Amino acid sequence: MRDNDQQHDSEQNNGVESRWHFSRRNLLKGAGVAGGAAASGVLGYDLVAMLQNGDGEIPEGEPPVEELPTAEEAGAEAFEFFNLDEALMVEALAARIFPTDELGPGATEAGVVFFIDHRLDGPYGEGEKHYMEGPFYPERAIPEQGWQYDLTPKEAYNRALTALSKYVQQEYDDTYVDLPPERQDDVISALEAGEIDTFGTLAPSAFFDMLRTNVLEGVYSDPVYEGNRNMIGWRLKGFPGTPGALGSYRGRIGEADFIEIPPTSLEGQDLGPEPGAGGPEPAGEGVGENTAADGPGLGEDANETTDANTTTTDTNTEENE
Amino acid sequence: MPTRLDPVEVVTIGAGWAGSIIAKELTEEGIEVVSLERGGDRGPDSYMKMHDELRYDLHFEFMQDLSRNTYTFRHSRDQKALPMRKYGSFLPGTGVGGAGVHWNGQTWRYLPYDFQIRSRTIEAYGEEKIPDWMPLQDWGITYEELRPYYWEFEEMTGISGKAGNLLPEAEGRPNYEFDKHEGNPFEGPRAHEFPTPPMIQTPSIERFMDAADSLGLHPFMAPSANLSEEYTNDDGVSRDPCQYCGFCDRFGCEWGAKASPIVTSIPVAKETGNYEIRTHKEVLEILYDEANQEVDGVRYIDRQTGDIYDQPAEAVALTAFALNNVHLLLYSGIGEPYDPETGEGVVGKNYCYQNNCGTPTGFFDDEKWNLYMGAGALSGAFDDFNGNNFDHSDLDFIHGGNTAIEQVGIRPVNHNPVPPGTDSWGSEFKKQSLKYNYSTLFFNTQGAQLPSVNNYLDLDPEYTDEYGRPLLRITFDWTPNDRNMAEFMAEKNNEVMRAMNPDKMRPASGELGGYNIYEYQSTHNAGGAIMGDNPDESVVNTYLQHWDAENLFVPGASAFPHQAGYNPTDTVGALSFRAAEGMLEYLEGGGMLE
Repeated sequence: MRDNDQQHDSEQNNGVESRWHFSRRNLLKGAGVAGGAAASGVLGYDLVAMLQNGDGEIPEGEPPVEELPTAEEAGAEAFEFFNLDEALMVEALAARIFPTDELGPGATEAGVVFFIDHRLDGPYGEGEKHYMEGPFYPERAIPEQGWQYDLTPKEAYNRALTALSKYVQQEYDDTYVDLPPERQDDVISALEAGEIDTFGTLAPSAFFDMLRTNVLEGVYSDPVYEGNRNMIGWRLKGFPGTPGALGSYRGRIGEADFIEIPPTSLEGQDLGPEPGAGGPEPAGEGVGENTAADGPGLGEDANETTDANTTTTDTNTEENE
Repeated sequence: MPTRLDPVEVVTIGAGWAGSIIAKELTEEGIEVVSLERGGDRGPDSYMKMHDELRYDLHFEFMQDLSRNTYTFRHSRDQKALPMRKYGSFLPGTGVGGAGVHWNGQTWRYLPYDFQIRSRTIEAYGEEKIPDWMPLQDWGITYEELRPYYWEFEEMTGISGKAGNLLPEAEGRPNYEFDKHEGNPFEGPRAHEFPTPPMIQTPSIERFMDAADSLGLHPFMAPSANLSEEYTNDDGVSRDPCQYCGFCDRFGCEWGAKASPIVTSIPVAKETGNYEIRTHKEVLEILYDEANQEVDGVRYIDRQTGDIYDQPAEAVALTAFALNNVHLLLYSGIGEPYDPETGEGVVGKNYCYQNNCGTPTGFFDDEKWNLYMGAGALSGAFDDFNGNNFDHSDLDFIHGGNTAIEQVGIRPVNHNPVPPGTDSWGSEFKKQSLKYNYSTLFFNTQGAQLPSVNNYLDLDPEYTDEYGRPLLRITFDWTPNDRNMAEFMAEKNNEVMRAMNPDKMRPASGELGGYNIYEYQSTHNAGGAIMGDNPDESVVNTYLQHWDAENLFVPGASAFPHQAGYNPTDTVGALSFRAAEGMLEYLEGGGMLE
């Protein structure tokens, strides 16, 4: 039986009785919304400085700082796709593309080499969702036709790392990891400009674009993918990460001043079924309590929870598929 | 041999906006509808892990799998077309709800000028204003005729906006007080105020609108399908308002605040008991009975079992996204393919895209905005240089576009703004991209893209999809109209950016290189199965009924004879409501509709 008072609010628009309500407010309490509970939260530079020079302690409630090994310390067995030489080389390349410097940690502290290794060992490495049917005409393609190589990302990395080592050997009689930083940068500039002749049909600049994209993904994507360790990338940028399922900025988006919100990750949040798994919930009758339709504004003081007193969950007709 | 199933009254190919609107309108009249959807099922409850840039934004979780079906591309007929192997300048969706799940929600009516673009251009500037390579055509329907259907889509979805051109007898909305915003004075006359008020005007949008104001332009908050407040539509569907979470374009909305078929048309259709969506079913071919000028039904494959079925139907709605509509028409041999050498034929003719141009970027040294917050259609715009809203007498192009700043929520991997001359890697790149991350504003013009005899769609002679069908081949490049428009818009937009007084500025260049297929630009692919009132120059009539197959209806952006200076979804919605009306009339009386 529908309680008419509750019903009143949702009819305010045009007097039509609400038969479906895709309201989520009544789910708020359950969903893991605000990850970092501590209101203060360690923001960009404090944790960054801490990681850099190892002083200061972590405020209560913040996740402990994960000590990350370098590729060398982790050793070959830590890598699923790269051998140790390749891992060391990718770590060194990434460290020049997104360096550790006075501004704070870089690709190495973010664990980019582990991120790229993990990605290449998965569907991304296999060229999932890429059209890989022949014939392949890379030499006939105009630039505007994009990637035309018969190479999955895995194969592109294999080809490029071998070619790059050969180039460094010819040019500097050395290995990339042992070059001083300035020479390492010269090699990347040559890669970006396509001035390397050991790549065969694969254009060096095409590999540079792939590598640069993967490095930025490794610094800034959600830590569930093994990069952005300690949310270093997000802390450097002051990016709050995921506002969490049902998170909301509605209450604060109109404000003029910049709002620093401690970052939260998908990691460790109980966030319901895998995407694409469930259909819409079956239709119910009652209408969720129509409190002000603000979610728990993550911008607000994180430990003030919105009191959404829940009635029946609202859902619509169960999928018959 | 395919298994022949029992006939159904109506089949739609795809369950996106067009397919689900047809399903809702027909099932409510007691007609039995089956939607065949190649993707899987999904809904707000499966979006709880949605805020993941890598999976949804950068690796296209919701998009068509190119390894199964893609498009080949070339600039001109003397070049070899090659496949779009990776995404991509446009992103066709897949799965229940189609692109209506991951769209931004920007919802515009086209201008009265658009629907009669040929006659109005000639009336204003004479026939010689239209170059001979430009097959400009009136749509066969006027804005006034389409207005009621626009309202059906806007009312169903609850569009948030402020009207700028209300008819005297317009209906307001109850308990609707209004503050400082003005509407768009250039919009087609409206018989209704918007169902809900505009979204929140954020500081960065205000900065743009004040600058436009100072130059005598007419800025306004753009109409949005991200609800500004809680809303219940006439079908009784209630949705929560938008929470400005910044994960909207390319994402599903776990709040249901962003209108999608899943939280508007589909539940209503299902409630009737006359609607069935069969997921993981891909239509391979429309079964054409040329002798009787009608279709017998569709042949589809069950992607999970590999079994093939023939599904007979009294009527078929081809609602599979503009490009895929044309692909199926060409592959099924329904209508004469366009031949660019002779100019004969219609299927594949007038393929158009979107000319996003005139993008200045402003860098502000000691100002910062909360740009990680946002929504897909949170935007301020002006229309002063759209359509025929300005005089083109001594200009070397026609039409124009809507100019707008958006705050859709910037995400870190893909957004690293740096002033001109900064390297794309290394310490300087890191320093500048961190400094200007939330201190950079940019906007552009969504230029109308007018047809050319040289821009068209046909079947590729070499490359095939996973079922052995030839891929759709796109022959396209920017036209002189696009290039001259881009120059004009760059100059106008640089003026507006200067009025926003950034510390550093990368001015809009006005130069359009060759169209490229690998950089995302827009999914506003249009044309190829265009509507009109003359069978020699169009594929469908103004009820979207195919001239050569009276029980086949093809609503979608494929029906647009040109692409306007706006996002297409409101017009796709309106044409789908119109096509549904046509299908009802057809199912009763049969024959070609006038």
